[in-house]
Amino acid sequence: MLEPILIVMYSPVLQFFIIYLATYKHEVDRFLRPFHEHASIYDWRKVLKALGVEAILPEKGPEYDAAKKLILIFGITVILCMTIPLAMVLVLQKIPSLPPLFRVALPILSQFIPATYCFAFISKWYLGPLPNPPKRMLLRYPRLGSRIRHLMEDD
Amino acid sequence: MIDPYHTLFFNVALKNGHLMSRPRYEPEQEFIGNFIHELEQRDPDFAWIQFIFQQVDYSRQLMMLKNELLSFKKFAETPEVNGKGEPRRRKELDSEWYRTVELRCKKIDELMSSHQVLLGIQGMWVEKGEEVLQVISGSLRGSPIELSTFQSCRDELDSLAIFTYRDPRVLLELVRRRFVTDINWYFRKYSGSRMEPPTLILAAEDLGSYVHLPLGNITEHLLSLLPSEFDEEEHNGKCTTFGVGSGLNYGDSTYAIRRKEDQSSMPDLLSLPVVEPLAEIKTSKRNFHISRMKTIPQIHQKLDAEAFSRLKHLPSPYTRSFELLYNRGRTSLLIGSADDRDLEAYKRFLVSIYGGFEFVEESAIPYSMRM
Repeated sequence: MLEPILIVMYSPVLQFFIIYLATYKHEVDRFLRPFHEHASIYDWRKVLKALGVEAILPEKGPEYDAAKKLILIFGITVILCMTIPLAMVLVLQKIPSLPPLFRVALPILSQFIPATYCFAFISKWYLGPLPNPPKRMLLRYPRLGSRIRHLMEDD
Repeated sequence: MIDPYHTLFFNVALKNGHLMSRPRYEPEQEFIGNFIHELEQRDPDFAWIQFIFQQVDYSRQLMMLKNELLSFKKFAETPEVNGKGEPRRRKELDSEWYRTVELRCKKIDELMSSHQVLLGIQGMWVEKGEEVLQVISGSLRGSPIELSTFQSCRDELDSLAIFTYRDPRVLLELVRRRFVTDINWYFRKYSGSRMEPPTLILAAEDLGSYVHLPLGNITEHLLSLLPSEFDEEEHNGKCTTFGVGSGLNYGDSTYAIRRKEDQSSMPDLLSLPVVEPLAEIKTSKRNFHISRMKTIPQIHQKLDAEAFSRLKHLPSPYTRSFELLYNRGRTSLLIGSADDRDLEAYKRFLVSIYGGFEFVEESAIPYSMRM
């Protein structure tokens, strides 16, 4: 059976939640109400079909490059998740004289690297922009508008 | 062919999300005239701007918000006690949030003392090819649609700002004339991680600042409002020429005469390929009834105070819309309502204020938009 400490040391799960809580602390329930745009050609086709309008669309939409970047970030996350634990095991074997505290802390801290990549991917792809701090008179602008939260696919 | 690279959607909302703010355009009654003028100068391939409004009553939520602000004020003014038991001034007293509490409470009182109306401003913008390339290469989240007429609408607390989207689902919302009527979540989040509500709460008398006909001397310069003589419908083989403009009904004006003289040299105004809908156009389950103003009166003087104040009766319990369509240099004005009898009442009301109009029925997807 896997020890909880091993999960913390060799997977970025806990680190991911720490980053989420730190960045979305003003709107912790954001994962329940994410907001982001759907602007692919597939989404255009769906909308035009719902409207009953026939139109010719280009093969690639304006979000095509953004989607490629997201896939790249996701790929890097997966590679880092797999290679960092292996690298840590090897490093710890090579340096047996390392104090016990470091032997635990080093892998835990190193998991923040894939967790950050993974978080960047989820934030961009699903959660949406970071929330505004409370009791601020001025909000960041330009930003993604809240109208996007209220778009319905179809009745 | 629809080119998503050229198409942007937008809505107009409060830049800093202060719900109680009531931005207005100055000078009064010049908003639409100046806005059409700005559209002509920007000259997009196509623009569709909807002002959708409905009578609402958010008094309870406004009262709760006021109580929340007053509680914060009381808290900030109560000295905190340090470790030695000595009272100490709270740091909240130095914040902008504290300094503007009274102003915001006053704004809430003003809103509560009048009939309230929700106003949603949303639209679609199809930019000309070469301008779009610059936008795409820049930041996606930048504000590629710069319309200073909206950005000039402000009060002491907040101003309007344009929020742009590439999400085609906004098109569905435009065709179905849907706007956000439930903004309770934005009330709850006001003191927390605030976001701008997608619709504005205004006093009924504020609505006339946004929803009115072009008035005053500027109408002489609005080239996109062609005289009604040009609004003809022709069927020419596979191309159909639609009269989509809302011509100024002022046949003897120098502008109208000039346009008449130029008529022979003008090319076809709009040559749109006929696109047959795949099936019956699906609008919302609740149909929205739309009419286009085929002719509108040209009024050189602004409305007097009494007539202008009557515009506070524009909103009704049904959702109503006032829309501007700009297509290849021509502007159309559309009105709509969720109820057909209410639409008739809406027309009669406008006629009682501005004088004669000529209306024609329009489909939910305007002809000029069937690309």
